[in-house]
Amino acid sequence: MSENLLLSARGVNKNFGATRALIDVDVDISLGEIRGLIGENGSGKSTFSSIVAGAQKEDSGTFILKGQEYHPKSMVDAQEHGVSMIIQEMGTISGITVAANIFAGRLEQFAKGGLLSWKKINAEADRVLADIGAPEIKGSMPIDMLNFEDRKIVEIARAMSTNPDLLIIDETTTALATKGRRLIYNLINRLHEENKAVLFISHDLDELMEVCNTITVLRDGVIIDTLNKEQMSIELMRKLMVGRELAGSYYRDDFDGTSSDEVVLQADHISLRNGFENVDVKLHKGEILGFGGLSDCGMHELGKVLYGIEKPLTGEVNIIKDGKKKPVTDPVTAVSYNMAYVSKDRDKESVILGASIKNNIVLPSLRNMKKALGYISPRSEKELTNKQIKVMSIKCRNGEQLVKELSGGNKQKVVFSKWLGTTSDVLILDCPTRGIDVGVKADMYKLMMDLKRQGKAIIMISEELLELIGMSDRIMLFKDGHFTKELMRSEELSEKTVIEYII
Amino acid sequence: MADNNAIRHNEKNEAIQAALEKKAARKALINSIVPYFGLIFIVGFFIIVTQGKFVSADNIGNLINQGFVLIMIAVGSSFVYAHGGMDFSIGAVSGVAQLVCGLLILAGVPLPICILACVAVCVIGASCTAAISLLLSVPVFIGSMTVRTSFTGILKTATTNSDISILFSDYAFMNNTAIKAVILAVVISLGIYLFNYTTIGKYNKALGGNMLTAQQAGVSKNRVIFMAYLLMGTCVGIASVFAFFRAGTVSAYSGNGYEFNIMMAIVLGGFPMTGGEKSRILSAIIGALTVTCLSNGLQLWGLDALLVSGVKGILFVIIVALSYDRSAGKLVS
Amino acid sequence: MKKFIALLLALCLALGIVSATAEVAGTGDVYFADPDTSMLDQDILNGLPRYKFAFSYYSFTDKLGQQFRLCFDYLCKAFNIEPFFFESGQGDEAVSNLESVLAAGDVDGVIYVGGSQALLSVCEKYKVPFISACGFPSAENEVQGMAANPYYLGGVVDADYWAGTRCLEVLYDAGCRNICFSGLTQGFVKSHDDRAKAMRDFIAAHPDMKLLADSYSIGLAQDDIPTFAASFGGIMDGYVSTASSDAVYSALESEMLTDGSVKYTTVDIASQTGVYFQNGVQLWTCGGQYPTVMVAFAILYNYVHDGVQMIPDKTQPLTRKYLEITSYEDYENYCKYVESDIPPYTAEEISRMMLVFNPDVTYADLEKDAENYSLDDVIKRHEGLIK
Repeated sequence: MSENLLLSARGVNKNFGATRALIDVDVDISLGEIRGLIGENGSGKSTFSSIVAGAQKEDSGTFILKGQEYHPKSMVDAQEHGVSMIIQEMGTISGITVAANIFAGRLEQFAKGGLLSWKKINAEADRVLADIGAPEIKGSMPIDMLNFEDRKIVEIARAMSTNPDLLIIDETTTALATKGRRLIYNLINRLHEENKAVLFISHDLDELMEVCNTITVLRDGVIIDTLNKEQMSIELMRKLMVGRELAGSYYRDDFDGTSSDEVVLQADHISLRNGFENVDVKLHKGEILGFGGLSDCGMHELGKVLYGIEKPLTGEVNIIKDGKKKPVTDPVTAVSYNMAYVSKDRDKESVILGASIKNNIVLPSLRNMKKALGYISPRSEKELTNKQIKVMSIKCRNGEQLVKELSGGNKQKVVFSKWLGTTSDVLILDCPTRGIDVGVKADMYKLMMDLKRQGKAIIMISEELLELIGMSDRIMLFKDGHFTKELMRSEELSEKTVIEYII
Repeated sequence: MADNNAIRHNEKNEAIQAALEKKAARKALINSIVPYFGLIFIVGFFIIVTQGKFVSADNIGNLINQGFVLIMIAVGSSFVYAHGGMDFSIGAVSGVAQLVCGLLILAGVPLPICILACVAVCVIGASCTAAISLLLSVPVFIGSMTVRTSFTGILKTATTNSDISILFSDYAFMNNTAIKAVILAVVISLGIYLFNYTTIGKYNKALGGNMLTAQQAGVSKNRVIFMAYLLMGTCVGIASVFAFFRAGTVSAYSGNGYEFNIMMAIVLGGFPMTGGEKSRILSAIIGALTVTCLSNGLQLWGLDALLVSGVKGILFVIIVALSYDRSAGKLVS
Repeated sequence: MKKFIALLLALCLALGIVSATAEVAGTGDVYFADPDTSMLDQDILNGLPRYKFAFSYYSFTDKLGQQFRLCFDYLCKAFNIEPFFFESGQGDEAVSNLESVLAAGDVDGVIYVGGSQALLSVCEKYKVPFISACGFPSAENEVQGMAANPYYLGGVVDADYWAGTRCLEVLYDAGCRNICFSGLTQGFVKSHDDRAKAMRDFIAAHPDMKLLADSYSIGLAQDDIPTFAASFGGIMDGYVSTASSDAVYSALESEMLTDGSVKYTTVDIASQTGVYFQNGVQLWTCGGQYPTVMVAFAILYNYVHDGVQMIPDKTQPLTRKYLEITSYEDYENYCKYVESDIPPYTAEEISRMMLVFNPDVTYADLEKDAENYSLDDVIKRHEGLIK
């Protein structure tokens, strides 16, 4: 084995029930290498990294780390062998100090005669934090005092406190702002200079291209290819991740933001609790209206009000049908007027996780499927489900599979199927492509265009500016609870122009 | 450099995938017959210890008579438990309903009206539970306890000086096993139809699965929940009619324990206590049948009173272990 | 979570079994010696067929249930009967329980604390005779309906109404006028209901006596006493409870009601009863109702073995008096003669109520025994037996 090789994995397999997460995976990581790992949700990248970091056990396969057989029994064990990982979700333990978090599970080294010297532990914690570039955080601080980003930095300190040879960063940067990201980039550079290695997992292809020297692509549990610096390009990476050509443009290829004059949904003088005042919304037939802003600007609540889930303090929401105003007072009336709503909290509000794909898809359509004496035939349920599975290419065993077993993208496909099955005319989509892979995202955008061409009206609420600019006919921007600007679709529209109206 | 093994092992992968899917399908099949395990076990157990008497024609008739009330309540309760609700008041409400029935009969009111009145009281009781919870937005536990205490008070006051009794021999036809069997069959069929093939059952299951999602999909929570309680009330009402004529008398303890028996039935049948997708009306019915067999078999066996509770407990635990759906992961969420 | 629930269930189960066995083991102060059947005609005795009699009460783990069980066991041992005990249950559940018990096919007779037309119709279906002991229905329809049933043998009850009246009467005669009352949850046990009814009737018939408060709970009197003391301390001069236990006496003591300002009457005897007669707080109590079950046994046997229904008018139960205790001396005698290992009626005395041993016995004899039954009667009959 070459002396340059830090970690070598051969023939790694991992199954979860009937799902094969990793199939015969071989990976070599050299010293000094910054290796990016990309793949759609369900591709196996998080599974692989968690096995390397000691959080899970592989079903078969071997790992050789620094020339020795490597089988970590736990994450602490892995850390002691020089492999540390930082993750995307909250990884700190509430209720204790920063220093206790950093050295969690490894406090014996500070024990003298059975007693812990907290002074020593705090001093060591301060040193590590300063070392990674965050001297303002002190070991004696209670962790609950810190915000999300600083807590993430504490996790980084924990990972770095053992001077790892291999640092695994699993989708951490997506949740961080500039301070955290810069800290991590500096760390990566330093590790590269110290001839250590980094395994970097992220959805942000631009970021990866900048930071990594090589990028490995995983798809469906199988290694597809590893690209070096010259070979890297966004289109190639997307193609390898999805496995097919993404024909046409990602978002829309037209810049025509006009739509019919016919108003289908109208909201007047809407005020909400958080200082959201006097907002009017007019949605036209065949229009994609985007709502943009930061996450607490009030646009998500506005979406709920337009669908009748929440009642506004003032104002009213009306569907305009045949020239007549019909009030939207609750979801039941909304559905009866052929409205649809996709929540940004997918697992909590858009799907019934414990129910089958079929029962999720048919739910809003049931009232239209009733025959004599209220009878709903199981066959018609199955037909509707299978049709939608085919149309939306939902990856599943069959319609009886439980939705909780599906990947994020497929879950969202079920959500869309649900509404398509009822032929909705007005759709309110809140963060419809959040947490979804590139391939499914492209499908969603195509679907939205299809709906637009059919004359449906869509409100798309999104925190992703590129998506808003790429897809909307018209964008309404919100900041701190009030409406700031309306922008029309145009080729010249850029993120920079939009940002100043939302921050 | 391409670390690509997929093509090389394609056939082997497909075979492995197919094997894993077959295993998952088999597991799903086993889980669907699991509620019957408990029943099969208890029936087999009692056939053995009573040397076959458990399944004699006479005892089957007894089982129908004894299980009538609980099975009837199970049919109606399925709708309520499917959306994650419950009702602690059905016993007290049943007691008052039986009281009303008895008093009306003693007052000479024609029988059909007495029966309707009995059912009406139960429907009113269930409606109160639902209304209190829905209108005041309190957990249904509180609504049902409120109804329970009020109805218990009514029953106790009315039976202070004496029980309410009818002339039993005049109403023997109300205890006819064949009639009860037919009524039970009709109600079970209707229950299965409404639960599995109409929006009534489906919406309740959806609400139990995820109330927010169901509401956003246009399911009217208040209407659906209320309807579930109405159905349950109707079933409790029919059950109360026959319970009254079976006992021939109403005391302060009429209807006592119905709500706990039905919970036991639901647990034994493998019906999830928090409702949702895995709710199956057949589970509740099988559970009720299992509870009936358990009580009947223990007495038929001739087990001394002091041992009955202990043995009942052991058998209960065994049945739960057998009929509990492992893939659901939780007995109580 | 599932494991936790399973563990909890197993724990409750284990506790249930343990407490049940503990209750059985610690059967209180009374334990009968084996019946002495040496004076009986041995040929007849050995020729007695093996019957199975079922006895039903709401629970055999409470004191009365244990006592019923002891008496019944005692007689079954004497007369070659296989005893079977089962809990009654309530409402339609009671019908189901009896039905399943009789469906087994080997029960020859049922002694039941309580009774109803529905239960009798079950007996009629399985052709098993039924006698009520210590519990008789109050509703007229029940009484008439049951009496009309050929398988009903009638009832033997304790004079609960009389006992309730005596409780109030004694207090009235002692000058008490402001009474607090503790009863058992209504509808639960007939005997308590009758005592309570007697109390209410007495108060209604005596306008100068006032009922300050009455409470009907499952927790028995000891929980009411602090409330009564707090609300009516100083005003209350008489206290009645339909049942008694040492816990009640402790409560009286804690509330400092033992200075003689409050007089106490009750039904039942506990270990502290003697003390409270001595210090003058307690004026009256009664007990010794075991024989009621024994007499019912005899009447049942007479039907099963000899086909004779002894009670002529089945709407009127054979009513047996309690043993009155009005003084400390009575209490001592009670302990010596009744709470001993010889029951108030020996097997031999019961055998004289059984046609197989005494073909000349009639219902009138049973009525005479009932009338004569008192502490003095027991002392007279058992003078030689008690050491």
